[in-house]
Amino acid sequence: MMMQRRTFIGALAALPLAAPALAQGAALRVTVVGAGYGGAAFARELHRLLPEAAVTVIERESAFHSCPFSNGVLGGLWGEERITFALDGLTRAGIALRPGEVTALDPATRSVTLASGEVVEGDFVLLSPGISLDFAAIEGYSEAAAEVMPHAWQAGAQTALLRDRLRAMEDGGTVVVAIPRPPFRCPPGPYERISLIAHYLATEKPASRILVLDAQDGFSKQGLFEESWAALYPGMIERIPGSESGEVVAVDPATMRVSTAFDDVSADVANIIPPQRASALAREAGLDDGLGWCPVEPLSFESTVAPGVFVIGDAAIAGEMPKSGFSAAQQGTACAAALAARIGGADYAPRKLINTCYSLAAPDWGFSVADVYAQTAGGITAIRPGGGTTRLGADARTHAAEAEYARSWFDSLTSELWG
Amino acid sequence: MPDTPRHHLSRIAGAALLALPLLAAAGPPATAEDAAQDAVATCLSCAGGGADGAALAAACFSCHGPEGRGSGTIPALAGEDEGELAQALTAYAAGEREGTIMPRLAPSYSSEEIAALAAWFAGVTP
Repeated sequence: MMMQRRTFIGALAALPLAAPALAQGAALRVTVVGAGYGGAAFARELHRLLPEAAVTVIERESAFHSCPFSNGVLGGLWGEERITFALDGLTRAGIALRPGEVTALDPATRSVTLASGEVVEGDFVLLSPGISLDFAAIEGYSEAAAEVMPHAWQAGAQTALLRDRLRAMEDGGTVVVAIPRPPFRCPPGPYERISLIAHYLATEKPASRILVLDAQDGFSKQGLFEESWAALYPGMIERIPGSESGEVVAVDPATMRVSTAFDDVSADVANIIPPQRASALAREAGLDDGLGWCPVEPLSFESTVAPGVFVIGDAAIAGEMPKSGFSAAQQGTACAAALAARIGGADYAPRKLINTCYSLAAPDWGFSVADVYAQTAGGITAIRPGGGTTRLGADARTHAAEAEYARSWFDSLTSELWG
Repeated sequence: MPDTPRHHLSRIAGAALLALPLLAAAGPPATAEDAAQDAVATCLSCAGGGADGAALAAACFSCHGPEGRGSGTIPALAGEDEGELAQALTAYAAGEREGTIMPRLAPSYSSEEIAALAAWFAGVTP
């Protein structure tokens, strides 16, 4: 009942905002928080559909650091420059870029406050703010501890830190990778990371091993990963699943101890990926409705609790779509179309959205999950039959082609968004 | 940014017509005048339940490049022959054509949607 009432108010409340602004000839102001996959896709599409609207993107980083392809940095496949994107491409496209960190959002007025104290007013707000890491969920873990035991689950300095620790480790060392309970950003990401760290070790430090302490039992593309590990890195990777107390509950950066409920292990390099939630900004504004992630209307990505505020990407509960950069970009494009339709007083035709998520087990060994999702008033659901993963037992030519497509996809999408 | 049907429309149409490009034409127009005419025709065809080629195609850009003008290993679709595009998608959907990603994605589209996609990409200037 409550949700329906809110939804109803939301649908009504946002409309009067737009109409007077257009009638008076004033530019509609749309504030975008975050210049990542979701925010950049949304800003570009809205600017293309409504060139008259004043779209302002607020981003705290001076460049965007992509999580997709960051595991390749750890594996030595390419350098940090491959995942680092300057933001001036957005400016060249006619989108206003305001550097700064948003510290608060007032859903009632759709104004955001920056760390500088500045307030940015808007008629609509789009949040693509990503995740917050729940350091407190693991005893002894913290932002400071992550300088010794990197998470590298927000790319950039953390990626370089983990890469440097892997490079500094002596042959014969133990790399511990801790994986949290779902939901988390990029479901297959931890396992691609394990694969590409194994690639690096097999090449440079073959006596080393990887111990995976996993809160999950099963995982994304499990058969494909395990097939590749057996073929490429036999004996190097040991995984303790959640059902065997794999979940990491405590760490001690001073002694490099990593603890489960069952065992203590000593790591030479520790990659601790903690549990995750929607960004603190979104939760502090109440947009998660107490769920940890933000519920949204499936046809518009408008918050179910805050009219005129839209949430996309990892922070949102986007039906069955996974938390991936690819999903965020698709949601950004669809959300912009829905908002433009509303502003223009037109009906929005529900779309079919795609997520294709590649993983690399080695430079020439790729596989993927690919699904089409239908937007309906009832939710965003994967269309079946159809979709799914690369088949088990695929030949080397297929894996090489998928690895090549992964690189092609990454270069194509990133140049579209930030080029 | 490349010129797109939506570009033309939103520049010439003004606020009153802003929503029209969203309703989208089956194939992209060559000129602004064509776009305006298409916009009117599009609304009529949408009322009849036609598949929206532009909206469907937008989901493909992430891999095939903006407006299907890809430059990497993944094939570009812009300006390809409409009949060949439709035939390829239909074969993928039926499991009769080899591939990596497309045999998994194509079955989720109806024959009407496949026709709209083929027409839209065929109409883009490469």
